Amino acid sequence: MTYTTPTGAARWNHQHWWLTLAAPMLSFQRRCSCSNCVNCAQGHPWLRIEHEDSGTYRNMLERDWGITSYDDLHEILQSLATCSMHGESLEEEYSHYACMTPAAWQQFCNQGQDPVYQGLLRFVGLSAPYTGRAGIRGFDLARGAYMTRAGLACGLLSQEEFEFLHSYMALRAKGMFDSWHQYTLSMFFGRIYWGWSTQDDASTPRRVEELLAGECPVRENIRLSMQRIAAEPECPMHFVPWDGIELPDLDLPASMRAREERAQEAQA
Amino acid sequence: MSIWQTLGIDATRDESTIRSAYRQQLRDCHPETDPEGFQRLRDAFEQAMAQTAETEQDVAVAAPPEKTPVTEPLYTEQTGTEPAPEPSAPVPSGEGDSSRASQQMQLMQQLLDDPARRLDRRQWQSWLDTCSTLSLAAQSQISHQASVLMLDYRWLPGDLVDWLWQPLDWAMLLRDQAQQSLAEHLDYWRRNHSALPLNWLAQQSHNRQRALLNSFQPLSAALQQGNIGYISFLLHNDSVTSFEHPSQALLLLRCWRALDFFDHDRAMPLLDWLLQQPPGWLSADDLYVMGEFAVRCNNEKLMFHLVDQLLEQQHPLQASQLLYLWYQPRNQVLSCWLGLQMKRHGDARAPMFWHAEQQLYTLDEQSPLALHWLCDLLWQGHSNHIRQAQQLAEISDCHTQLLALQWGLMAGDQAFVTRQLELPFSAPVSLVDHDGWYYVDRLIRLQAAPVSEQLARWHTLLPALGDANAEAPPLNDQQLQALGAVQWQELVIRYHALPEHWQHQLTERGLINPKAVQAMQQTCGITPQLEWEQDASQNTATGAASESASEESAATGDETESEQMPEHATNALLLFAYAALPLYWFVLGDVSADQVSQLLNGAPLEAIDGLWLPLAYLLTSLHLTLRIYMAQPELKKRSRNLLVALGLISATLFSGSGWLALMTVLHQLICYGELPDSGKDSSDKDSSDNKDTKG
Repeated sequence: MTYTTPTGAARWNHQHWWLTLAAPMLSFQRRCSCSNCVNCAQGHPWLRIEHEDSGTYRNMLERDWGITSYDDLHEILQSLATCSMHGESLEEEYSHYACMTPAAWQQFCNQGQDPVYQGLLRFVGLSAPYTGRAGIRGFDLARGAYMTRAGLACGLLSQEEFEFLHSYMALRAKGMFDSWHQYTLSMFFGRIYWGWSTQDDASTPRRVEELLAGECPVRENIRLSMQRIAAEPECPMHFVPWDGIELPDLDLPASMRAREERAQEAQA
Repeated sequence: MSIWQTLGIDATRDESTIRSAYRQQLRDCHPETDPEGFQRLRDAFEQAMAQTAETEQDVAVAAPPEKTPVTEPLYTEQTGTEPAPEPSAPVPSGEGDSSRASQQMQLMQQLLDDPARRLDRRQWQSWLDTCSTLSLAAQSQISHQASVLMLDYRWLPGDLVDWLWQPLDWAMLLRDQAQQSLAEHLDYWRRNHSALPLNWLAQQSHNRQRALLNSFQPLSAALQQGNIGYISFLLHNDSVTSFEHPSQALLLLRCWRALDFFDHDRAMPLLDWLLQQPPGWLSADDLYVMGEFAVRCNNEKLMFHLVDQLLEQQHPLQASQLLYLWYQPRNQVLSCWLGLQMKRHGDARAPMFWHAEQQLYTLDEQSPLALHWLCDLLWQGHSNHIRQAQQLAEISDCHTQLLALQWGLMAGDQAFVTRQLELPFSAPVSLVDHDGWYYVDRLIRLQAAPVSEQLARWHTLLPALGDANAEAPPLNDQQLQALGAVQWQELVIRYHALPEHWQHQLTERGLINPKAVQAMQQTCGITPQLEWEQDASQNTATGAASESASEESAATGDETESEQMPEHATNALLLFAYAALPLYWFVLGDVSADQVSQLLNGAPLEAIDGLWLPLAYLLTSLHLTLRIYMAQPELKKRSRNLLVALGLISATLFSGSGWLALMTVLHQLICYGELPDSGKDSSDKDSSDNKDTKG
């Protein structure tokens, strides 16, 4: 079974928009040219999901996320779609930035005593002009879209669930960002922040300085990803318009509602 | 004499009359000049007040207290100019504490009920001054009662709470578990200062004040807390309907900005209104916010107007930030220039900002050299693309003059910068009013302003300066402390030819880190020695510093010599310029004329006249030529340099400076003939110098 985007009267429709949500993540995953690498998304089409990839996707889900079942996947997807995994990190700081002028922000950054926190504030100050007040929520949304693809490809998600999750994340992304570029930068800044936060000695001034100097572990991959996006004319972010496509607001599928009820019962 | 006679009034129960009389009499008997009279007056006042309090207590038993009627007018034009009540003199603690505390609370109630006075800090200060004269027990009672009373006026701005917070020691309530929530509320409240000017608010009626504060204060608080959701909620509920003061417009603009809502039709009337305010009313931050609206609403004319205002008010950072915002999506080259202006004027964005920005630019081998240079500076902080001024002449760009000026500033070559500033400005075709290039030019010139001022002073000291290098005496403590560690470090990085023994001293004192200096010198691209060390046949003597050297020669009337000077000597002058600059800087850095004299081998300033100056140049040239070349292993192959040296000696002799000059030159030859050996065996600094010269 193959899921392909239908072609309608309009050249680009909401389904193209949905599938473009995963484009930054796909670009990031195309890190090598081999065909056997577990993480390698080389060759994965931007706007089509082929179930022949199910093995690769399943391996990725198990290896990187420890997902082996339907419930595992839904649990992760829920936190990604609601941006509560990493996307809400520094949420307050991004809001403060939006409410301040650059000079006021500078003063705010200098108030704190903790050099690590001061460094994180500076990180917010330098990334917010690109990400907007949504901060690094694009990191969760892009991963969520990518994993929803993976879930469909390896059969853990139904098409109805796949569409609902995409409609939910698409509406959130549309409300948070102004353009594909801003969304992509949000994803990459989130990735940088995550790369910094996973280091054992992250909360040291030296590591924070590295973060601000762009010397974080994933920087090179991010730079390459940005270049790839710019260089690949097939990347849908170049042609699927950010504005002008009506995005549907789908109802929660019965299967997901049943899962939620089961989870609540289990908790009770 | 009765108490009423002492107070100068008839017997009365009216507290305000007694206070007024007391204040009146107090002017004539100060406690320091007339202690007995003061004591008499004080006693009379206290007795009169005690009688009033007793009467009130009697009334209180009969009926519950009524709120003191507000006698002040609700609206007055004179708010703020009304004289504040004078504080009472100290009151000993005792029986009347409770009643005095009650009186103060009544006064507080009156203040809070008076719309004209409650927003006047001086009124509160006066009230607090009176409170401070009471016993500690009474003050404690007032502190508690005032904190509770304030809760009836929650709509008032936090300024009032802030004024009372410390004097009434409300912070102490935070430590009391029973009062903690109250104290936390007060603490939160006091941080939410009024969004509208208090003196303007004080002129409004009670109802109007309340309405204004109810609509704008929550908005201001939400903005202050960065609570975007609440801002959105308030604005969607149309809590803000009318505008009477420009501060309201500013607040609304800031809220829209936080919501990323830049609506041309709604913003422009507010911006127009704000622009009508008198000059200086808008702060740099206000102008920046307005400018952001101009940019986002695509209003170029307004954006330039705001940039002009920012520059007039000496805010180049905000001006460059606005211009960058405008040009970033429009003109790659200009935005690079403006990005650099932001950095140079103090924008503290971390390197990663520019890494991200890098993605927005397309830079390839075909891109102009100037753009490569600019991008390097933005993304890496340094560039090797333009290492000497000679390259500037090869760049055929309509903005070469800007480039040269900026390059000189980045290279720290003050003489070159001055020369550029003095050149008649040839504006390129596109460099017209209200064009981005016009502002780049203005911003670069703002950077150069301190250099111009410093060099104007330098010219006045020029005749007093001689060879600043090896003969300079060691720095004394005062001189070492004249500059901070950062300044010394910067100085040494910029000027390699600073006397070595100075550098040793600085290293010993921990003022410079030789390794860091060396690393910076290698990355900054300001390495005249490297140019010097290149094959002399290339004759690269047209560099920035050589121009500065010839300029110095011209300034000392030695123009013909400098023009005819062999290339090595010119290069030596180049080095002299670098050697002399730090001394000038050092001298200009709060060092007195006496200290200058000490630096110049103890010779008084008057003794160094115009005749000696050309000689000093020649000696320095020779000194540096020999020093550099003798430090090289291939000295013998370069014997022609000795011929150059002899030529210089001859020139010195023929210039009429006499035997002294010859002796000095011979002394220099003898001294520096030993340099190669000592250089190899001595300190790391020497070896690093050798390394520098070898490139």
